[in-house]
Amino acid sequence: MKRVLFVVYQAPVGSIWVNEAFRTTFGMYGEDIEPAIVLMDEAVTAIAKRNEPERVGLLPVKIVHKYIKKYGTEVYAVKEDLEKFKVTEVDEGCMAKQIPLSDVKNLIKESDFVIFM
Amino acid sequence: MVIMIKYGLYHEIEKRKMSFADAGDTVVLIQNGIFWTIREAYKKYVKEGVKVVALKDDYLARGYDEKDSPVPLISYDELIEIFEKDHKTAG
Repeated sequence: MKRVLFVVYQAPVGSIWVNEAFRTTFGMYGEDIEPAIVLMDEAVTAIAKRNEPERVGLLPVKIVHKYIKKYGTEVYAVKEDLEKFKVTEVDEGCMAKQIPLSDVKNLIKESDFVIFM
Repeated sequence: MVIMIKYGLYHEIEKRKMSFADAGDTVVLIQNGIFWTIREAYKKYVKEGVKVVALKDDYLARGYDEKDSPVPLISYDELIEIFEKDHKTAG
């Protein structure tokens, strides 16, 4: 089984990449692939409780919550970036595990394909 | 692991990607990533034992002279060989 890691670093408001990472991940469960997602830098704001891209006419991130639960998708958020971008209240629906940046390296090395987006 | 760097000098995430490379990995500078060869800026983020190469076409396209490159310049064919040899990639 191949392991694919999506490392999203672009903001959820103003770019499609957070939603694209989740959409692509959910589409992989039918294949012999084990996907996971890391949110870093600006992308960590995607799990902020009051993050609302729909306020400016974009896709809400909350629509992915039920699929994360259904598939048990591994979602990680980098602690240092949560502090850097002052994300104090996290939306539990994303079920994101908060990890230090040093752990991201281990996730990368354990993966077969890593896609930064 | 082959780590592709395609953005230039002020891109935070490219700095992180280079710092993730370990001895035995290969960092490939493509597109604007070749700017990291200027004054060997990549050395601040890349550890000893990590092989760094740049794509020749991208390097020459940006007006630099082959002899000025501090890292080996590779062709597209050589890039494919690197991928075939090392099945893990980050880009």
